[in-house]
Amino acid sequence: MNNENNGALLFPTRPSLQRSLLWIAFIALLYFAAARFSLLFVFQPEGIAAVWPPTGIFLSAILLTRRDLRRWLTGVLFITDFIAEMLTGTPWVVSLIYALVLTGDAVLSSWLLLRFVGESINFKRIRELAAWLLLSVILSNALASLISASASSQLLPGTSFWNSWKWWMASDGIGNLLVTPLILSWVAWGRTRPGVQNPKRVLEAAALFLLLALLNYLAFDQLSEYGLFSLFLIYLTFPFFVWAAFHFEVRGVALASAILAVIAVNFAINGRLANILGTGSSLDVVITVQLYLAIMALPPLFLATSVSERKQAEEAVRQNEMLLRSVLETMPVGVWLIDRTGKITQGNPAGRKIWAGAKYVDISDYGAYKGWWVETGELIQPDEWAAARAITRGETSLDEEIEIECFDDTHKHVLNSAVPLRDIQGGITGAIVVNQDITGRKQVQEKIAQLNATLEQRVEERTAQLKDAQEQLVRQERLALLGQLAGSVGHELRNPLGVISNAIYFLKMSQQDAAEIIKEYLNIIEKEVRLSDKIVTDLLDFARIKPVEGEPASASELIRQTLERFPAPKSVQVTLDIPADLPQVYADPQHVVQILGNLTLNAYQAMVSAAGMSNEGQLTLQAVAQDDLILIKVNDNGAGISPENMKKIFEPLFTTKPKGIGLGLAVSMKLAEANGGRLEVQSEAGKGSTFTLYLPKYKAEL
Amino acid sequence: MSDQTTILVVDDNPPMVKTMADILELKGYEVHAAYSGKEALEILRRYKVHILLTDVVMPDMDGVTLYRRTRNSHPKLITFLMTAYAADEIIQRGLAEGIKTVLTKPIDIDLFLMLVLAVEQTYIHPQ
Repeated sequence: MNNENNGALLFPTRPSLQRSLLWIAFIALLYFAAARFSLLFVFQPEGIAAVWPPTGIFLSAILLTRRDLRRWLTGVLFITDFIAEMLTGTPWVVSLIYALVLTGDAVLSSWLLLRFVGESINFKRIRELAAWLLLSVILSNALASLISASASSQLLPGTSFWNSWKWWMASDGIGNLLVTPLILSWVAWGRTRPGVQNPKRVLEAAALFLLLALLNYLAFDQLSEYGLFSLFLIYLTFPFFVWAAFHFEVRGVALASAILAVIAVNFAINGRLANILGTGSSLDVVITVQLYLAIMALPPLFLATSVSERKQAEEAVRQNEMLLRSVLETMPVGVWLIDRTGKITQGNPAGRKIWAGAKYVDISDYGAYKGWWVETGELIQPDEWAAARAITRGETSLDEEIEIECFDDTHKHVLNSAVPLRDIQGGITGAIVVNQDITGRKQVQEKIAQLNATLEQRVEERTAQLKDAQEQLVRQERLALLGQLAGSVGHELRNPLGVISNAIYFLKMSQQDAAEIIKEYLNIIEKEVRLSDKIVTDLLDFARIKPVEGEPASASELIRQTLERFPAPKSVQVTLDIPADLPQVYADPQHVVQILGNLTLNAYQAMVSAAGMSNEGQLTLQAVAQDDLILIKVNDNGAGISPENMKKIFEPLFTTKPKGIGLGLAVSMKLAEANGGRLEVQSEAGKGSTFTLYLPKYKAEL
Repeated sequence: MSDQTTILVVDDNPPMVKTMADILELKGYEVHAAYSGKEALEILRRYKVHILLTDVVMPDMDGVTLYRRTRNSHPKLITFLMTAYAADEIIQRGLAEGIKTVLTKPIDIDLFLMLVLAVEQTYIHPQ
């Protein structure tokens, strides 16, 4: 097929005017040539063509032409036909009628086919073939023949209506029968199979058609020689038609028929078949040849079409199988196919990957696959596998969670499903098993669970922190308020305390001869005033730490001052452990004395309260240098601090003493920090405590 | 006038003034008492005073202001502050301007007497 012939079909967009004109002209030329050629082979004296190929050309041309060009094509072919008829010397009225009838036949045929079959007809389905045969070759042709026969019998003298109808019907019918499948099937093939052909196929086709032509020629040659006796010879080519039908489908059969027609008609025209019938009438020969052609062409056409249908069906099955295969291969889940006996026949790549291999075993050997029920942890018995249950009991199992041991000894978590396959009668024909590897998902789930747990823990921790912070805040607010209160109360208290203190001093000084009891009471008052002052001082210090007036100071001197201000009770023995070469501290001496005072007072009280008291109180004051720091340790063997109190002792307003407002250690800590140091404690309930004051070491260059 | 050292005690709290004055009188000092800055200045105009012991926080004027008012008329006056607060900006300023020291209430009388003695020996009756 050349491009010009199917050009209109290859371009679905509207072709240019030039292209359309070329297409129509080409068809017209082809039609004209075919018509003229056919008119050359006319049986004389009746003037009947044995075969009228233009009918097939006309119909095919309409079907192959774009819808909007069809009417133009039809018109042009009508004129072409008219001219061709005229040129053979047919009266113009008859020519006009013949051309009209031929055109009408083609138009009716194509309309019927388009209406009942559809746009694309390529004889690949029995339905198309049968429809074409009935609607076009027989029905439309018969109607057209009626008109032309009427015209012939009326206008041409000596022409019988029925004979004319038969001949017209037969020669047009054969023309349609031979040419339409030839053109349409080859065009369809050219459209679907462009490009280089397999040389073997070409060779086979050449051999087939040459042999067919040769054999047919010989058959006719023999037939012309030996008459009716050798009539069977011309049917010997039938196997070639079968061959063509199987290997080359409709286009092969159509080509074979065309070859047959050319040879047969040639013999008939040349009168070489005249003697076989014995009648000598050329019309009888025409009918015989036409019948021969119809008999030879029709069964192989149906055979070829059914072969095509079969091939299409096979192709569809193959496509389906390929689709199924690619679905199986690309599916991310493992799929196993099991036949009706329970034998595992196939596993897809995902399935083989899950199991790290495959064993295509019978149902009795399912034990080759090792798995455990996740719920119970029990080994899955061979007959407990979902596949076995699907085959033996027709059970459908979905997403059974199992743990498997793969063929590389790794373990995986898998969701296992099995579905039985059934035929129409409901018999089990096999099963499909699906494995889904959820090892990763499982791990992720566990991780998420873990994360959730940690998250909960973190939330708890954070909540606790927030609660602490809130409590801290509340405490701080309380303390701020306390600070303000302490400031004013302290000030207001110090004045009366100062007056009392003065008064005592005056009394002690002026009443030196007073009774002992009075002196004793004066002492008591004095002591309590001092204690009150201490409390007020703590309060004020806490409310506002005095600015640090750092200076170099000797730790031993500060300790001495402390012990002087807060002398130890009689029951307490004080030990000092201070190296002579201890470097000086850099701090506010008053602050240090205040801190150490707090610590020693606490120690005294701890030892006194611990005493019922078997052993003596031991207070050790130790000072050591450590890097840039001087450590002053105040160690006692008193009551110690219980673990639950350890955290709170530096908090303001915490106290275990019956007297005291719980500011001493809090103030000490603040003072230590204000001086660039810190305060730490180690303690064991019942054994005593060690408070360590860290202070910066004095450096000369400071 | 005799060599006797005269001390002016100023505080808006009368018992404080009285106890302080009684103690100092008992110790042999001549003591004047005032209950406000205004009264203190009045006494200073009328009597010779060696040592001024004044409270810091008082209704009419604070102790440091009182000290400043005495600077020109009594350049030799030795001034001590007494306060319920330990550290205050105004006190620091007073100390920088020439006030001898500040005593925290309740006052350590022995310490104060030692200071007075030292002042007597250094400024009032230098040997």
